[in-house]
Amino acid sequence: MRGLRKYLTPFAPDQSGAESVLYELGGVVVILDAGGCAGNICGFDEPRWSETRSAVFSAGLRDMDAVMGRDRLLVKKITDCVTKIDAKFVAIIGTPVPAVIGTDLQAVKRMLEKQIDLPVVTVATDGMHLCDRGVTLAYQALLKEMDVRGFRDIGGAQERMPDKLSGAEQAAARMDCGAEKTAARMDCGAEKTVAGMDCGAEKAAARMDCGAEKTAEGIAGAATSGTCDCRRVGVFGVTPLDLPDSGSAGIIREALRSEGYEKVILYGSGAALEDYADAGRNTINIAASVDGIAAVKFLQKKFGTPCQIRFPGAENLLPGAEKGAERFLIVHGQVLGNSLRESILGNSLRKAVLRDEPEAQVTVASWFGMDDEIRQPQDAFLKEEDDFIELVAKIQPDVIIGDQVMRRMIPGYPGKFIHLPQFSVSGKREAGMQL
Amino acid sequence: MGMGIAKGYTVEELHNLGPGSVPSEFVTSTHLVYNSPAALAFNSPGAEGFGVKRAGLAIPGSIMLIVSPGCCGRNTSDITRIKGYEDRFFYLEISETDLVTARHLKMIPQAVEEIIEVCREKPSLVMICITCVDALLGTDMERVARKAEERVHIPVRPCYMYALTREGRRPPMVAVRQSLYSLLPEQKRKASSVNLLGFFAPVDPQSELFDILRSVGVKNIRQISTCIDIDEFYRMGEANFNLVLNPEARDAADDLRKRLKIPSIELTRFYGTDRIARQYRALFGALGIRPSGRASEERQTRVDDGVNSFETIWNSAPVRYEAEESFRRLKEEYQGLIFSVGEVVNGNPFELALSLIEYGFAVKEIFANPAPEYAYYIRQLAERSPKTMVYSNMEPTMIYYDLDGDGERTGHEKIDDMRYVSTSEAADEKTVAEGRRPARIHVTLGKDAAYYHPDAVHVTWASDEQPWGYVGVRKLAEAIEAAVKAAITVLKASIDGKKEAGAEKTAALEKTAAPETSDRRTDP
Repeated sequence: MRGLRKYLTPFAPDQSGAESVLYELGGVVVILDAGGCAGNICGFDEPRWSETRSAVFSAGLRDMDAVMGRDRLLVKKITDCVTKIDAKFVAIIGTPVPAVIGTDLQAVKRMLEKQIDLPVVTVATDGMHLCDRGVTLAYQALLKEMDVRGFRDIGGAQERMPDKLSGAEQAAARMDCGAEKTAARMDCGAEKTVAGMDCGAEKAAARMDCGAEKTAEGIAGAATSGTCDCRRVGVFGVTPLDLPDSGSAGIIREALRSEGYEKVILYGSGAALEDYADAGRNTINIAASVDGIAAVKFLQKKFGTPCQIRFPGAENLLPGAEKGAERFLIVHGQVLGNSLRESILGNSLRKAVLRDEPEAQVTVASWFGMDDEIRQPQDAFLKEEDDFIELVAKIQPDVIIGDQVMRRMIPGYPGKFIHLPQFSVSGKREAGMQL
Repeated sequence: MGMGIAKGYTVEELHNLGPGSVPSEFVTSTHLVYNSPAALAFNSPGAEGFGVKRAGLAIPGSIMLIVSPGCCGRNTSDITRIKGYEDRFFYLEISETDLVTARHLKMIPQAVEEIIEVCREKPSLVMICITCVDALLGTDMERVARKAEERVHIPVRPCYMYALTREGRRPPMVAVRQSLYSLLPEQKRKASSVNLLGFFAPVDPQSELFDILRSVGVKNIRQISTCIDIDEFYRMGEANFNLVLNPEARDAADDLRKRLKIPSIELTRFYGTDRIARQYRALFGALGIRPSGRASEERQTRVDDGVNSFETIWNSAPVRYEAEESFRRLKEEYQGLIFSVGEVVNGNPFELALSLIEYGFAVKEIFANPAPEYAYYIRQLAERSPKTMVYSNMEPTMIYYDLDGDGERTGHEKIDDMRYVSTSEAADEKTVAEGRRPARIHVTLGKDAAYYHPDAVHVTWASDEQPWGYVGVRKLAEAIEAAVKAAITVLKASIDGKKEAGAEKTAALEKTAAPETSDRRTDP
């Protein structure tokens, strides 16, 4: 039956995804709810809540507030709050209640902006979609606000980004923070013919999965940003809800450092608001989850920064493929799934797998959004529990890689199940991965 | 108000303002709500403890279908880890289209049928839990539940996890009790049966409350949490009267009075022994039993002559003596204890704080909202300990509450602090003068207070099993004593360990130094 969950608990909702992007950015984050949603977010979906403080509040809506549409009371509460709390911005995150009563978040934003001297971003989540949508919307809201106000105005950075220039011009402008173009290139490694190559731009080009060719602006951006911050990589789609477990951020960071990047910025896991303001200085951006794709594409368009879609270090999440296995099913985020597929079929294991099983096939399935551009024909989007049960029955995989909570749905499954945690699905935190 | 300060009030200030002028910091509908880790245990209808979800499954063998947007059921996986709740939750996630067309309501009977099919045993009851969105839509879930009931032939009842109505006339935890007790059928009343209403976990079976009830001839004392099956639960309908131990069960008791003609008496949980005694006196009065030492009158009032006689239970009862004695011992041993009292405790934090002060201890702060009905406690506190601070866990500035540590006090000082009335007041004043709060809370009561004082001794005092009466007082004193003793043992071990480490270090240094000396000696 559509929507009926007999085996799995509900997945992390969009409002949790939005909050996970905004959590560490120093704003007043208001969950527009009665208290239950904020309790769910802070007390359950947000692992950082008990470790680091963040000004995440519930709007504390009451039935009559909702019935009467008391937006002024909401504005007053927020206004009062920002007089007491030191904040860089205000974010309002939607939940089912404002969705049902049709709260005009843009109007609330305008009302607030008239009363407080802080940027206001709104995220129209409704608790009825999944966390990936919330992550996407929060990135978009934040980047859009920065685009409108000027990237450097919001993050507190000293310099103002010339926002009316083209990508190439901006890239050139960014060069001013160093010295002259040539000199800067020299600084970055005179022996290299192309500065961008030094910072992985060539590698990036080879791995570009975005579907778009590098534009002239993009190339210029890569090269020139290399002169400015030649080994700076931004990774989107890496909130705690996107990642398999608490160690995954470290795996990504380590993998990118081993690729030669000196500064790795994980947007959603440690990045500050200033890092968003400085996003134009990134040499390259990577979407490690589907929910980060829109952000990296936006930055590509805005600054010409090249982008990739991959999960760095994915191979380290999978110590070995099952020898003799012919059919694999990976159920996780699509980007991680793809990178794992690449790891199974494309690295040193490939020979071993293909020698024994030349017909080896890897299917990637996901409960979360899938991007058509990086999807292979056999891949599957899962919505209902029955979708998963039917997929397993159809492809009869020798190995399933995914969160072990899914085993409950296939009690008679005879193959090997490799547990790869996915908190957004299971709601269970792992002390460490059990592979 | 400046930035960076958690806003609180002294009890003296609150008393001077009066019960009609509770500051806005304590009125949650007037400000944004801070879900600090301290507040999470209660500030979410389904967060921890017995929220609506767990309470809704109080009847043995029942299951729950949560019909809501996915976000409402998200944290339920935490509850499914608790023994006895593993396979009892199911979900029907609703979409925007469902909400607009209300088509999800038509799906519920079929969903109920499907979840019953996957249960290993046929459930005794299906609870349908709905949330804020249906509150706004005005869904008639009673009607939908009846439809489902017709289809599956077992009771189906709605329960409402309406966070929106938390401060309304019928908050979720009140409504869930009404929903559960609405199942009780009309039965022939039995004079020897009594129900304890209010909690979803049992009252401590050692509490004198059971002896008191037995002493007046009650044979069957039933609580929802101790019913072994739904049939026993149904027998709660035969009670002579209900004892309401938690005001959240007041409406349910009122329903039972109207529907089944079962009267009720409300009792309050106290930690002050005088207050407990007065309440028992009032209880006996309500039951028509007059306190008296004369055996003839006792017989008139149908009281047993045995060990649990009316006389032994009255004020001079050994249980009262034990309770007071346990606090006397605690005070004797650790006279310098300073408490921080939270609201995530089995008790009213203001009454609990007042009791601790009455037993001779200091209470530096209370984390709770002072409702007008607590005016008596506020007045008493203002008279006895006017500088005790009161903070609201949910007020936004609590983000700035200084999570203190133990400062620079040594292990010895910490132990001395707890044992004796502190001699470090001057040091504290200096700390305050320097703009820091004195880090001298020794014992926290409640998980929320523990959050604010991570280095203090923590007594959670929020077990599912409910402490009650004199026995509850004694057990509280014992719990504090045990926790302090354990902390002191750890501190002593740490001091000894440091001494040993110091000795080892010295020995190692000597050892390292020795060859040099030896070398020098052999040097020509």
